[in-house]
Amino acid sequence: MSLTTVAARGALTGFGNLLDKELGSWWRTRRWLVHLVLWQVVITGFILLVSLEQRGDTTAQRGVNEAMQVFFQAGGFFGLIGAVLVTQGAIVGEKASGTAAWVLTKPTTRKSMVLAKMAGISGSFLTLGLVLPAIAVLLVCQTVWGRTPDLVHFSEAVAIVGLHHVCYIAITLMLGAFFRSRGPVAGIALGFWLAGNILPNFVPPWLLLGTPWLLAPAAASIAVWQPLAFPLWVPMVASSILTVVALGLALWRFDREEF
Amino acid sequence: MFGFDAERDTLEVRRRIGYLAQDPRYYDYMTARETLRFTARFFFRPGQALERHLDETLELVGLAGKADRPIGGFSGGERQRLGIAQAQISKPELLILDEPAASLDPMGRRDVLEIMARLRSHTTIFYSTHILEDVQRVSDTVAILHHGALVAQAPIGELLVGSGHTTYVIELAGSADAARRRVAGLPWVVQLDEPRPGDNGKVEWHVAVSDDQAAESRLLREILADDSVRVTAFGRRRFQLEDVFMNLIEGNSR
Repeated sequence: MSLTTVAARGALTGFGNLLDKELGSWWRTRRWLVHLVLWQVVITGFILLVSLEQRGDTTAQRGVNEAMQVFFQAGGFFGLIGAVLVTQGAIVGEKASGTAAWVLTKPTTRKSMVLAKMAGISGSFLTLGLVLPAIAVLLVCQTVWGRTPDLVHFSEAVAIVGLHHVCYIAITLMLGAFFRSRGPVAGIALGFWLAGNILPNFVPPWLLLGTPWLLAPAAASIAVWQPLAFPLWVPMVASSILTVVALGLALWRFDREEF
Repeated sequence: MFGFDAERDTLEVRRRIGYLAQDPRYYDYMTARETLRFTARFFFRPGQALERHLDETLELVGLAGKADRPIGGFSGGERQRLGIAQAQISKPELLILDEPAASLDPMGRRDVLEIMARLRSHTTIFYSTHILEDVQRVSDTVAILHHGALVAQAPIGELLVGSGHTTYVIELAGSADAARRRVAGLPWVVQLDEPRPGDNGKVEWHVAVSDDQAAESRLLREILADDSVRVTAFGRRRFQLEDVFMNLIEGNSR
């Protein structure tokens, strides 16, 4: 049996191998275990404590609704911090350590490198920091309150928070392509989130529709069947566009990086 | 390169060359085998053949025993051997190594040079170094650069012979004055230097000759014709690359 040569695939040459490497950095090291434990403790553990505290003082429906509010608001917040922190060094770290320069001596493209990071981090982080905690929260609701939220609405809400996290991962990757140290990358990404908490007091509400800032509160409302004060598709489309633009800027800048 | 435009056809060019940077960096959480597998999969499909190729490569660079250890704990020499392994994993037509033995201890240097010597039969190795002793050991052709300009380029054998006359190095004991006058007067002797006094009263001559055949058959006899002198060492001078380098650089600076 002899070696079979890989055929070149244009702009995405090497993408599969790089994606495998990104996924390997999560799933073939202890990193997955650290994140699994971290998010279960921070998110699921917090909701479990809140639920146990309230048991006996309120109805099962209210208890589940409260758990949903906590999961999508607090979980959205912690998840966002996590998304920024796990992404901040993805490009900056490789530029500083010299591994990016090494990888790019192989037949692959810079586009493949950035897109593999986006796909690898998004897939791994959403699984460990959102989907598995979401399943755990359903189990907590079933165990403590004897019921679960409507699964269709719950899944929709989880998908919306997923979009929220992916948007911040793309923004952080873009910042990593522009800067050479982690400080400004994490600082600007978290500052952008902070602005979403401060600006609603100063700008007209319609202006916020074009940002990802409304996604986490919207997810909480959807999960408990509360009506929204705005059309959900607007921030979803705006966040999707923002994600694509951030990714496009990351690709543009990384293509011009000197190693 | 290879008939391709290095900028436009960069992927094609990168398929044909292997490169080792002076200070190579890898993903420290990976093992040596994982690093090579990651590198190889830019070129080859995964499978049994690839795994066998990884085993052979690890064997070639002497890392088979450490193949499954994270490379974060590797020594400088081991990292450099891994560097050569990843550079040549694709069986490139051209292997470019930037200072492959710099900053290594003598054992590490020896290992790297041995690997290079093994690889030179399969691929063209183009490497830069400041260690001239290494160049002399493993190179076929040498290019000497000075301030970015090419000063000389030739097969190593030609450079070491030098461009001037053949020189014999002779060590003598006893009274050599008469022999010296006689040898210096021979028509095919161009120059006779006595660069430094030898040990225990011995002297060393450097005799440059214009007729190598005459020197081979007669030089030693001419010296020994005098009973008061004894020859304790006799042979052609072998230039070290360092001598050649210094001569070229100094000549170029003047």
